[in-house]
Amino acid sequence: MISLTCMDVATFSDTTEAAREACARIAPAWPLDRSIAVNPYWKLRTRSFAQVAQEMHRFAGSRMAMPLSFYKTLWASGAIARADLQSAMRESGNVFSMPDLLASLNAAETGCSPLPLLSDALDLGRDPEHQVLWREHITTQISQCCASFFDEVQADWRPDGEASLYRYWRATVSEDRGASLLMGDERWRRRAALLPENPDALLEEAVKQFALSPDQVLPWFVTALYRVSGWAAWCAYLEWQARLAAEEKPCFQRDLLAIRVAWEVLLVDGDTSLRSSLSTWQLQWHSAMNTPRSPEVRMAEVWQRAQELAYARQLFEALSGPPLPKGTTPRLQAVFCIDVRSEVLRRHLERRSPECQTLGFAGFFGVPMAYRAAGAETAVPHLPGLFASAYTAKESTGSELGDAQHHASARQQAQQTAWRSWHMRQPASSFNLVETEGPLKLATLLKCSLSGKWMANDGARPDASATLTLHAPLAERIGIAGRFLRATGLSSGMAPTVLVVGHGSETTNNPMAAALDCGACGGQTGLPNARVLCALLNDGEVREGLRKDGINVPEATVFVPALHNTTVDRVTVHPGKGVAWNEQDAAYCVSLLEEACAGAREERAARFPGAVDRASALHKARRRSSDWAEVRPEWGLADNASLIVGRRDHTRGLHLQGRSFLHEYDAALDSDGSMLAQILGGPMIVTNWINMQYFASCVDPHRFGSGNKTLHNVVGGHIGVFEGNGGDLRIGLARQSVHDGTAWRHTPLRLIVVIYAEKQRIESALQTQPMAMDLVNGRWLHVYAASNTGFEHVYPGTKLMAVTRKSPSA
Amino acid sequence: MPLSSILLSPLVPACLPAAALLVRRGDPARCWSTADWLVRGTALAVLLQWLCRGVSAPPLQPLMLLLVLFLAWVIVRFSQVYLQGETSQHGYVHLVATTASAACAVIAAPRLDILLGAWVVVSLAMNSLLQHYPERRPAQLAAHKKFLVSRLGELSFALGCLVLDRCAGTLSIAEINRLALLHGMQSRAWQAGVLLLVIGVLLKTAQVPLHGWLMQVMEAPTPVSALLHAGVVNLGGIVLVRLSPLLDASPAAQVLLVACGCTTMLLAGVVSTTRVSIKVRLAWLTCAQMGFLMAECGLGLYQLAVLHLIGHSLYKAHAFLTSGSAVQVFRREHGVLQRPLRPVKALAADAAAGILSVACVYATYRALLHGWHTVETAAILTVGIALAPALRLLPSSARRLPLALTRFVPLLALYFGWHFLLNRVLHDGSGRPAWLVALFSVPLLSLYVLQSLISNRVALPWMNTVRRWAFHGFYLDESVSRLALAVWPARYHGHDAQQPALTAAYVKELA
Repeated sequence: MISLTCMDVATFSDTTEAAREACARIAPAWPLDRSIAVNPYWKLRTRSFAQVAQEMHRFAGSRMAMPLSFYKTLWASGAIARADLQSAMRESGNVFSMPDLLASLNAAETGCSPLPLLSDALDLGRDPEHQVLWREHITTQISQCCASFFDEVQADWRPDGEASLYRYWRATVSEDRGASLLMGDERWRRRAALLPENPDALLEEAVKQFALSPDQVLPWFVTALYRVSGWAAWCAYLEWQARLAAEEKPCFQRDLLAIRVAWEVLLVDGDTSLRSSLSTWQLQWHSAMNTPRSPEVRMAEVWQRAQELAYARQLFEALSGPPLPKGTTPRLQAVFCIDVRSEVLRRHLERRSPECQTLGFAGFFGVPMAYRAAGAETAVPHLPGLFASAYTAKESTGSELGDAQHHASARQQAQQTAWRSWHMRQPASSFNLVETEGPLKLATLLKCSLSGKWMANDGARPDASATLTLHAPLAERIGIAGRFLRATGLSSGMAPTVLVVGHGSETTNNPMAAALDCGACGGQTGLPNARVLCALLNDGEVREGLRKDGINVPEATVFVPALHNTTVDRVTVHPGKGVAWNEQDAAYCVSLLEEACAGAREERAARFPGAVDRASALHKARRRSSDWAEVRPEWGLADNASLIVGRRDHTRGLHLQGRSFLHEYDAALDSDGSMLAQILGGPMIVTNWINMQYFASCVDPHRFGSGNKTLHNVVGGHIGVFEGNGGDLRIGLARQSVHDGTAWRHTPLRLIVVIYAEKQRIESALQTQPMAMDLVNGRWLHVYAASNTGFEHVYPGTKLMAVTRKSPSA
Repeated sequence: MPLSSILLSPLVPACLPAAALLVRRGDPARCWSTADWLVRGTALAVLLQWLCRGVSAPPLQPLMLLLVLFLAWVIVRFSQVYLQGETSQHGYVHLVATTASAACAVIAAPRLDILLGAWVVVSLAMNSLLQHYPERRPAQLAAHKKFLVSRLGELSFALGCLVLDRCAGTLSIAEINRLALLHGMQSRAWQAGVLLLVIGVLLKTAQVPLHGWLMQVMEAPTPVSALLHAGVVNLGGIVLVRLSPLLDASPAAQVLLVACGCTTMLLAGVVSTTRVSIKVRLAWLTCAQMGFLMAECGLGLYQLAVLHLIGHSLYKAHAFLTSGSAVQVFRREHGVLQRPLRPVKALAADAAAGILSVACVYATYRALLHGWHTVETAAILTVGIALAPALRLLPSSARRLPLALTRFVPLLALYFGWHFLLNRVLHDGSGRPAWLVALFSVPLLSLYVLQSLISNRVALPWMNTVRRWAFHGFYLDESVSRLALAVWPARYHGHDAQQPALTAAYVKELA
């Protein structure tokens, strides 16, 4: 039996160091307008999954597996086979026997609770029916304070530039008469004025006051910080961005920790007797520290692993099926984002025409850019959150005067709408404006209620008269183009038309819209990246440069950017002006896309309730994308489960159910393993972030999911949402994004990564990518090397999952 | 009873939507479409009734009925999609239908006691809707506060009814209004009765300091907030307009309404500028608007009050239902407006714009309307102040005059358009003293000054303190919350999933 009480927690004598360590656990959360999927356990990746499960349980009261009833259904339906459960049992060290595990399915659910704080001990003495609880009040107070500190757009009247979150909070709390009125306690407000001005000093003092032994400091800090983990994630985001911009790192997280700890300090009433709240808390703390996790929680983790093994088994079976043979000389090559939604469309494309080849590549297509739309004030990053943008891409009409006019008219239009909403917001104006303009809303309400349509998602349609130019030196432009062609294997055998397909969603009245867009493009649509790349590849200068590098782009080959609208499943091509695209090729391409999209749409429509045929699928998808009341416009990346790295030849035509990310990789073209290393360090991490975001939103919806969409209340214009009136900032996916009201639509699984390369090569590539190595070592994902004989687990202590291949065709 | 009188009775709109209660089981979709058709049918019935009575009959009542039914219809259509997959959809539909029915009854009730009864039903149905997610503690607290305040208001209203019944010998609204018009209300009892009614209305219209629940109802799905803010909370305004002859005869009630309304307008207006989340900001604006509505009624500006009722209902329903677009709006508008930062010049420009705008509105009023009441000064001031930002020009930017006019003139034209339409519907009261108008101008002018200071980023020493007070809602709600909990405990269902387990083991250790 493993001892569950011993925590691998280093002992800190230095409080500041402990605070730093506590803050270093929180992964960032991007704002809603740039929302990308983030692995909420990212900062814990150097520990193992199992260990983090223990820690999350202890410090945050969170689980990292579903409730047992979830697995009960899977077991009953046969989705988890006995063999899967046995393997999972063995992996976990045979702590539980088969009968134990089966019996656990019928056991009552046990609640999880984090380590208690003093505020919890005081709440024990409060009557929840007659009084507001401390933990509710503290969360509300901190959350409102943070919101007003970080807000830049929602409130018109904002506090004057105080740079330190902690000092701002301290000034607020010591004058907050309301809280004393509400809680019926005056004493702590007087103490608030005596708090140290320096957050580090406060932490030091708090540790002294609570008489914590050195090994207790870190658990205490971590527990405190997890009570406001939403705002901690926002602070972590600001620090992350500062790091990318190489600016001086602000200490918002440390301040936030100090604030939460300061609340504990404020609640100490100075009573030192045995029955004082402080001694009560000390008893509770030590007792909770020594309470092991319940066996049910640990058994749920075994079941979770069994479920993952069951999926791996099915995936390997599917991958062992005979792929479609490669067609003759291709007429069309289409490069898609690795996104799981592309898998469906790619399959339909290839099934319909043997002259069409599809490839998968990270959706920013290797262009590290920020995009500045016409008339926009700022450039928006269009690349994975791990990196900083190197170049800016701007819309250009070709002439300077034209650009200036274009910009000015777009800006004027934006100013007019912005002015109107500003005017409406003004307190003295709003009284009469409501009378004057309000009745006009009758028409909008009528229209929306009859047709469900609200305003269209902007930014999806580029201006056909403008081209998008990347402001980068020629050598770098050639470099970007060359890297793209080599990595996709397109450096030879190019078809007359190469489509570069970015993707974006089309939803309305949806604060979480960006989460459905391209994660590799920073939560934006991938079209600008596709346009930039195509403009590069169609450029004579760049082609000349590529020729010198040994890549010959045929004269006749045209690169055409396209946008895959994932909500409606429709692909629009945007060749741009001055591109000599053969009419026949264009017609072939458009009609093929139309057919394939219809097929993909029909397949994906089956995930929504109600029977569909081809015609109604389009109608229903259109309605979902434009209905102002729709909370489930599309399923996004729900049910993502695997990443397959290899040539399309291995997977062409195989039905992977829209659950797989597909990345192009040809070991034969990668002599030194550097391309594989790049894939492991880039796309694999991005897919891990997506996978873990969905995972955490299911297993830990209170902390890493944003709750019920019908209650969402946008904070600070774009910072995040509250669920309801207030409470902590909510991050992650809404319940509606993973659950349809009766069943889960995402199966929480750790990513299965299948790489078509030798095991040794994968291992040596991992050596060069420390972050990827952490993920593999910590079992945050499972990597398998695929070969003719089967799929081999890449992990210290490897074993072979032998699946015999069914007659692979030529 | 002849068929025609049954068909024409106000019972039709008051009962028809509630027929949705009959669909209790089965596919929620059936329940939704039933409610949808019932609400549409009721609207048709209201139109037919109006036609049968003759178009010359005062159109206020059918207008208000159609407004409430339209909102109910929008809410039902929205919720049907929005709540897909949620549990207890049947219950939700039933409650929305009940609310619509009862709200129609409030508008159409011929007698004060029926009106009160219907209003109680609205309030109770709303209370259940607010607890659509019964496991949410804040939802229960808000509903609980609303429950207490509403019952208090109803008690006051009921007492008022009793007193008026004694004085007038009837509870028929038409009869009481007729008596008030004929004889005025000389006796103290009359005055007391009206005052009690008005207090009841004020309590149910979320005036400070009993406004807290209105801000805290975001714990229910968005369409519930929309229904409450657009269709329910302003029923008080409709009731006051229905009782306008009584108000005209009661100076005390007028003063009370204007005083309460002005305080709410000012405080809630200031607080709304400090809110950090979209829905809560909308809620504080509703609160301010309700203050404005009460003040308008107190001043006898019934036309404006009705216009405000309609405009606010539609505007707020729209604002809540599209609150999810906040991020889209942010993407579109962020950083677009950069205002000059030369405080003195900018403040002078704001002052000049205010004076110019009020003068323009005054001139238009004089040119278009004959006859003159003191209270119309209040209307002119409201419009002038509201449109002033459109005329804000620095001497250096005179070339932007056309732009300023394109912002100013259409709004002014629109306002007078509505005004002329409503002139045919009902008449304003008269006989308000000038000082009441002066009182009304205080919050308006203060808010204008404040918004000018804020938008020009002027930092005066006192402003930070006021901002802090405003951020905490002037500490008005906390005592009320505490009192509400202490006096009468809220019933809590379920428990918070994230609650640290303070289990029996710990408790034992303590003992």
